[in-house]
Order: sequence, then structure tokens, then C-alpha cells
Amino acid sequence: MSHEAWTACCERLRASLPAQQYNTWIRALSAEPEEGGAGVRLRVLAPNRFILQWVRERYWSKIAEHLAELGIAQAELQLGATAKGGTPPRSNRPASAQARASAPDVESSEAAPADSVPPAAATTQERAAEAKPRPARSAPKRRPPPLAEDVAPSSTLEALYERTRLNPAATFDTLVTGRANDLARAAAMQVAHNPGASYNPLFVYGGVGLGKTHLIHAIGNAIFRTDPRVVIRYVHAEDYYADVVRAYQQKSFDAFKRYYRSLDVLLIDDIQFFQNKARTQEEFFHAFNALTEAHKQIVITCDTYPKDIQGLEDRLISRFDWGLTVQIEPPELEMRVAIVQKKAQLLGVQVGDDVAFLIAKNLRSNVRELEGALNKVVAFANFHSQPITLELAKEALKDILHAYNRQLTVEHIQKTVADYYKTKVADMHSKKRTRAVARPRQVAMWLAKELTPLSLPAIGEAFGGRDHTTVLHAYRTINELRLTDPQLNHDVHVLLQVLRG
Amino acid sequence: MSTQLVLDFFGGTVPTFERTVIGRNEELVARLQTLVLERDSGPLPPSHLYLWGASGCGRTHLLIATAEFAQRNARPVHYVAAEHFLGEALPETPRAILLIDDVQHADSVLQHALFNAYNRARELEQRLVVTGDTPPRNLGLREDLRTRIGQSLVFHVEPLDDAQRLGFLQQWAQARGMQLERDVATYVLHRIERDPRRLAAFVAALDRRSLERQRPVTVALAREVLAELGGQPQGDEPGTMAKE
Repeated sequence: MSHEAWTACCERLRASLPAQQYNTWIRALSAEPEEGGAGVRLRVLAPNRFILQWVRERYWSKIAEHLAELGIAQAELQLGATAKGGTPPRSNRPASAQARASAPDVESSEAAPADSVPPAAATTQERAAEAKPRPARSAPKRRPPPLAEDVAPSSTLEALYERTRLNPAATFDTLVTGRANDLARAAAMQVAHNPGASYNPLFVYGGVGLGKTHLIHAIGNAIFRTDPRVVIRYVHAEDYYADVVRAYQQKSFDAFKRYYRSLDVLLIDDIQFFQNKARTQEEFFHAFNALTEAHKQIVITCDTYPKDIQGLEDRLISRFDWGLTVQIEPPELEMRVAIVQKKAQLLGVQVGDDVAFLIAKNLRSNVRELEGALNKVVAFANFHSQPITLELAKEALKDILHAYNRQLTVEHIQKTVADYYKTKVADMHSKKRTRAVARPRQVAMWLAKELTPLSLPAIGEAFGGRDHTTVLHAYRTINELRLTDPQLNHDVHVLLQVLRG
Repeated sequence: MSTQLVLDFFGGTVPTFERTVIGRNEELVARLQTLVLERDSGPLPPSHLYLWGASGCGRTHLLIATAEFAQRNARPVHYVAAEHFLGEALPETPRAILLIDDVQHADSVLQHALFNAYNRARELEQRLVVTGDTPPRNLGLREDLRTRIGQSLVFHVEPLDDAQRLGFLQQWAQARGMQLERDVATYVLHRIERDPRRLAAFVAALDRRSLERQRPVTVALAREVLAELGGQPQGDEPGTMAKE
């Protein structure tokens, strides 16, 4: 009875939470009935302290509510795991995704989107800092990094997490592995298990959009899950630079130094942006030394091999070699297919092999665009309330893949049509009016009007100096013929496809 | 500020989604609205948008309509025409919608600012709507920026067909308080490059001529204006005909 209630409770949560939240937090839980006492009692078990606290802060009241409705009067959240693992089902909800297309408000009562961490209340100190005039940076959430002393013992886990600036969605679980990133992932996991004690710094480099940022967020998330007291900070090199500039303007270098040296784990992204920024490099040099001497972990990403970074001081470059340098390569086809399927799974939608293959085949160079293409297909299917099929995917990807962006010229249209009908391009301009010549010419005029923004007189001009009324006549003739002449309609269709790429 | 130019171009009325000839861009318009309202949009988390299409397909119109819709719904919004960008960074207003028009013209400063904007968007809960003249894969921008744009939801803005263009012309003229008969509109449509901007500019010239000479807007008057403009209006830059 109680087990069924737990399963039913999970089903409800699965229907009401974004798939990512459900998969990350609720699936990790299990439940077992509690013996003795009056009424039905249930013990909900969280595998570690981190999940326990997170679920307690964000989901427990909802869970208790559902359970009460399902007849479980008393439920308790505890640390532990069941022997036989009462893991609720994974969230891949094609059915509910469909249902939501027709009832768009189902989730509207849900709080934050999966990828955003709700803002913690700003401390008075931070508000005071806000009040100072800071023309370029007025956003409350971009406040100066909180100093370590701010971390009061009463801070909630969420507030601690927010200080890391980590993206909760980027974990090792959501990272697809393959030959391209095997080594980098192994090294990253090593660092996550033993921060400060294995490779220091870990230097990850690779081309654009291959998952460097995902990897260092994953390191941070893994460390935080093991021990939320570890002071972790993810910072993009650009933001580190902005911090230096701010410290300079506000003459607050002491606070700046103290903050960065108080970290246990510093994750710094895109270090190539330090090029030719002397003061930033100097500050980082000192922070680097202080942190490594104290056996604190540093992880760096870059778009090139350390020695190839332009405009960076040698003493900094040589330090990057102290630990381990690993490369991420572009993913091969099989891995791209796997990435598409993984991302689809995280969205809670089902994507067939043929669709994943279509996307992976057409977007080769980076993971970001792969994701963009998948999102496009999912959005398209959702909007039209249709299942994701190969045909639908092709239609949806037209906007991304088709190269008919280049302005088509009349010359190109004439040549394509002449080739198709096996006539001469010269006939497009000639005065000849036999059917075999005139019909292709009319088709070409029709296409020119349809596919270019040229005026009718300009199109007429391009066809041997004809009048715009001739173009208009051709346009109307073809429109009528398309309704009555299947062969011609087919021809036009094929030509449109060819010309649009 | 470039906004003023745009407002001029639209004949004194701000484009809104209500005043938009949506044509085949239904999904796109729906997506722009859900972006502003942060409504649940199916299984996808909220994402940035990228709109591309040939000149005159209505990209700027859609951006301004989005800005208007955002203002009406109390959402902070910033419009930046890439060509006229003079700042160093993009606004960091939390929850703002950043509208970046014609990104293919972005210089290195704007590209850099945009790169940072994409990186900070998650934390600031900002959404970016960017337009350009080609699909992301053909954009000649920094690769780290180009791929971020490519991660957005990408839409091809479908141009209007002839019937919709005719409707647009007549609506546009009406907004200026000008009577444009169907035969004159059709005459113009068949002789001018069929880009809404050119069409609108020509009709504006026609309107001025009609006021100067105190003559009604007829096909005959349209023929005269066309002849005076050299009969080759398609060679001109957009908007030049509107100049005095």
C-alpha cells in the first residue's frame, strides 16, 4: 500500500516538475514503509546529505502534500537507501509532452526554470554595496563576490550553492563520453574526487563548443555534492577581469585578494581572454601561487594549448604545465548521435535513431549547434502537436540547414531551369516562342518572381528585355497550370527544392 | 539612436504583433510572445532566439513588435541595431530581453559584448533575440559567438506573399492618413522591388507628391513619380527615396 503510494507520488511529481529537476532530485530518492505505530508511515530515503537537504528545502512540502492525499499521513525524509532500491521511473514523458501541447498551462504554476538557481536574499552588506554608484554594473544579481566571512553557519544550502555560480544542469551524469573527451573526463573525475591532491592545475583545452565549460561545472557540482562546505567558485575569465577592474576602481584590492585566496576550488573558464591584460594576469599569477601552495584546486579551460596562447606572460604559461593538460576533441559521428539522444532524454522527449542521426550528420563541428538543432525539432513538434518523426525533423531543420540564404540571382535560376529542361540558357533571352522554349522560360520567370525580391520590370529585363506584363502573364499562366498539369507542378516543385538547396 | 529611424520608417506607428501581417511566421510569433511572458513552452527550457532572412522579410518589424509587447508586459527590454552600437557592453538589467538587430554588422566590440551577454544570461535571467541575414552556420562572426547563436532556437523569417504585401501597403498608407486605392497599390507592387521597405518608401514619395501638387493618388501620378525616379528604383539604397 505504502509502496504504491510512493510510486503514485513520483508519478505526480514527474508530471509537474521539469524533467531535469525530476531526474536529478526525485529519482535519487527511494522509500520504505515504517513498521509499528498507528496509521501508515513512510520513510523516504535520500542517498546523501546533499540530496537530503536540497529535497528538504525545495520539494519536501510538495511531496508530503501528495503523500497525504494518497493516504500516507506521516512521512519522514531521512538519509539512507533501501536494499532493493525502490527507484521511481525515469522521466521520459512523450505522453505528457503531447498532452501539454494542448494544455499549455499545466506547468505554469511551477516555480523556477530548471536551469536557474533562485536568488538568495541579499544581505544588508551586499545591499549597501549596491547603493554605491556603479554605472556599468547595476544588476543586483551581479554583486561583488561575497567575502568568505559572509558565510554564516545559518546559510542555507541554496545560498551556499549560489555562491559557486555553478550550473546545476552540467554534471558528469549529463556529459556524454566518447573517444573525444575520455581522457579529459577521467582527469576531471579524478580532480573531483581529490580536489587539490591530484592534478593541479587541471588544464582543459579544445575548440569552441565541445564541452569544456560543461566539464568544469561538472567538477564543481561533484565536489559540492560530496561536501557543500568546500568553497567553490566558477568564474569566466571575462568576469575575473571585470572583478579586477572593479577592485581597481573601488581601491578594494585587499578584499579582492582575500576573496580569491579564500577559495578551495577555483574553476576559471576561457583563460585566453587574459591576453594582453597585464594587471589581470598579475593578479591571477599571485592568486594561482597562493592557492597551489595551500593545495587548493585550480581548473582552467582554454581554447588552445597553453604554449599557443597569445599575449600571456611566460611565467603564467609555465605554471599551467605544472599539473595535467588534457584536450577535448570534436566528437565523432557516433558520439554526436549519443549526445543528441542524451539531450533529448534530459528534455523528457523521445527521439528516434533516424532523427538523432539526421541531426548528428548535419552538424559536425560542435555540440552547441547540435543542441540548438535538437531544440528546434522539439519546439517544432510541440508547436504543431505532432510526434517527432524523420519527416518532421527535416521540415524543422530547414531553418537551420538550408543555405538558400544567399540571394538567388536570375542568372542562376535561368541556368538551373535550362539544365533541368535540357534547353539552352540563350533561349531564356531569345525571341523564340515555341512551346519547348517558352514554357521553361515562363517557369524561370515564375521562379524569379517567387525567389527574388526583384521588381517585375527588372525580371523582364533579365529575360531579353521583356515587358513586365509578360512576366506577370507568365506568373499567372504557371500558377494556373500547376493546378491542372501534374507534370508541370512536379517540375516546379523539384526546381524549387533544387534552388533552395 | 537608431530606434527613431525605425519608428519613422513605420510611418509614425509602432509595430505591434496585432498590426503584424504574420503570414507563415505563426510559430515564430508565438515563440516570441512566450519568451516575453516566460510561459511554459513545452519540454524546452526558455531559450534564446535567432531570426534570419533576406532583407525586407520583416526582422526589424518583429523585433520592434517584441519590444512593444515586452513593455506592455512590464519586462525590461533593450533594442540594439548592430550597425549603430556605440557602447562597450550590453545592459545587465536582470530579466531583460536584449534585441540585437542585424548581427552580421557587429564589430569586434559588439561581438565581444554579445559573447559576454550569452555567458551571463543564465545568471541574469536575460533572453537574447538576435537577427541576421544568414543561418548561424554562415555568419562571419567569432566562432565562440557564432556557436552560441547557433544554440538558440533558429527561425527563418518567411517573407510576405503578394496578397500580404498588398495588404501591408494599404495598411501602411492608411496609417499615414493616405488613401491608396487597390489599383494604385497593385501598380506599385508590380513595378517596384517587392521589399516592404522599398514599397513603403515609394508610397511615401507618392504621398508627398500628391500633397505638393494637390492631386489625387492615381496610377497616372504613380507613373510620373516612377519616371522621375529614373524608372530604376530597385538600384537605390533602402529608404533613399523617402529623403526630400
